[in-house]
Amino acid sequence: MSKNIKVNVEYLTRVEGHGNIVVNVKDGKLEECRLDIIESPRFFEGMLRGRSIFEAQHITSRICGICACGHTLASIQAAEDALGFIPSEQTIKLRKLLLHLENLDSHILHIYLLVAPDILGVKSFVPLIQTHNVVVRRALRMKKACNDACDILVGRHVHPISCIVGGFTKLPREKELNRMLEILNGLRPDMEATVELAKTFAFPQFSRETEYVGLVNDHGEFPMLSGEIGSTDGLRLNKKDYLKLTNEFVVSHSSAKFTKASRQSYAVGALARFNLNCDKLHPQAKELAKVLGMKPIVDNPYLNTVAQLIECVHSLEESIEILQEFKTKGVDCSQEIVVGLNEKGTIPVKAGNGVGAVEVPRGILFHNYEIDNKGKIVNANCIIPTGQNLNNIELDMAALVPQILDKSQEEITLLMEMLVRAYDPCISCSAHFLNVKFVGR
Amino acid sequence: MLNLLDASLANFLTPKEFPRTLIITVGNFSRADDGVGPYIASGLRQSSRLSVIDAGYTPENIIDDAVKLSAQRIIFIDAADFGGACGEIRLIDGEHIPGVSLSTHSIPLPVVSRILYEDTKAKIYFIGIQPKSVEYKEGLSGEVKSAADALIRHINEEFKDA
Repeated sequence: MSKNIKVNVEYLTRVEGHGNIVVNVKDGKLEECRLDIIESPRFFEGMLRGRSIFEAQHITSRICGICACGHTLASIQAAEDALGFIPSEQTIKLRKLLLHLENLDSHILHIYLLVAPDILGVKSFVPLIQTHNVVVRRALRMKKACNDACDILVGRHVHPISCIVGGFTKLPREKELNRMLEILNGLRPDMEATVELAKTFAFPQFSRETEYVGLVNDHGEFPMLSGEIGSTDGLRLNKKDYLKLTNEFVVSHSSAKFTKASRQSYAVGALARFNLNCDKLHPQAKELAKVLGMKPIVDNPYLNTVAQLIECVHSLEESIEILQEFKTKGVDCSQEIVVGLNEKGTIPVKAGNGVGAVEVPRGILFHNYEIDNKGKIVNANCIIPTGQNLNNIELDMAALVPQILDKSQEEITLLMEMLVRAYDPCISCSAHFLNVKFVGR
Repeated sequence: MLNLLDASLANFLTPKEFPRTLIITVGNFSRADDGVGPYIASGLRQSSRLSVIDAGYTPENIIDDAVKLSAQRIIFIDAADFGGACGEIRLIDGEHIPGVSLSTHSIPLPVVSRILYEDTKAKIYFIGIQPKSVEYKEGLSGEVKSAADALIRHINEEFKDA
């Protein structure tokens, strides 16, 4: 093993956005290990200032094309919290369905498009069409199914249009419920095949004791849309106190702020949710966890992909159950609300401060709005899951590198890339990604 | 003055040799010239010899619809950065369709074209239009709009029903 090596990988592919990994090992000793985030801030909070609280969800949905529904729901929750509006049970259930559909879509894309190529030994998703044609076709079918169901529910498969503050401007009729059920039931064989494929995946062995953060509650439901903030270190906070969790701080090598809670860093996402709430998963998802040998606390970040797979089963089965319930009980279409910015004053407006805390595919997402007595946004703050994970990824990298110094340069690079990819970072939300630079080893 | 539609491209964009052509446009109108595909789709007139599908930014979701049309030739139209002059139009054969997409979570176009080829045996082509900007804004640049209008005029004329 040579002790000084220079590696410069121009771009790490299969993560959303750009940035740099800088690793400096000299004489076998790790001198530097950084995650440089070089993307310019996007100033969404600034854009929100002066806008109506009733249009915030359409603006913030544009933060991300992958978790647009999650941003919409966090935004709506923050708005309703600020206004003191309590949505109906039906509205909450439909929002949960929307969140499940997006979770499923995003996880499927991550598993197939971004992780599978590493496991199956190819450089990207494109060569898989030659070597694993059936797998590619399945991935496309599953993605389309999620998109189609989302389209039916909220008018578009990305950037939902009918899900707004107060409820939905269009509610699904029986025909639409049947179609969504048909789509999701049709997804089951592909989900089973995905599980079988994933059983063959071998992930790198690595673990680092980590504080995992997510929504928690004191009842039996797997918390995605509501709950308190909790952590595996025993932290418990009201969502209004989210700043006591995030403790954002600035580092010179990142245009995205880093976060920390009880320790140096914390992690959010599917693995965090699994570690906090696995006993509340759908029985089929719990069974899968057992089969895959997942038992909390799992602190191998590479296994976030496995946690995502378990959540896929959870989200699919929960979605079908929600739809079946609506089919039996019916949808109260009188709850449809008028399109617009609350021009008719259906929802009373008052000054306030509201927080939305929603579990989106990559972890807990916070939106916080302060509004004046006309419903105009005075201040806004959005804290994105990937932003909360950056510090933890960097510390994982620092712990991993000394353990793999006996490997070839190529192997080290791949393991580092896979580590970052495991978090499914959406840098275009928080910032951008990623070159790997080994200054010397 | 840029020759927007050279003779070989103009000759290619006719119905001869192929009884039915399917044009699939790709792009996002929220990203300036990346919206050239949807813009062209909105200007094209379908006929007995021409079908048009605007796939927006999810071409993978229209595979089933495209296969059902049983076209002998499928042409993707999208903004593509090939280092040409803004508004330049370039014809690329199916083997060299660019695989880079704006989002890593997007399905690469070569995957979609390959599946379409497998399921239809159609000849696959790609027409790329060099964008001036793909920033987050609406509206095409003058150069790209001129190129798109030239394509629309030519295709509508050539493929119209007698």
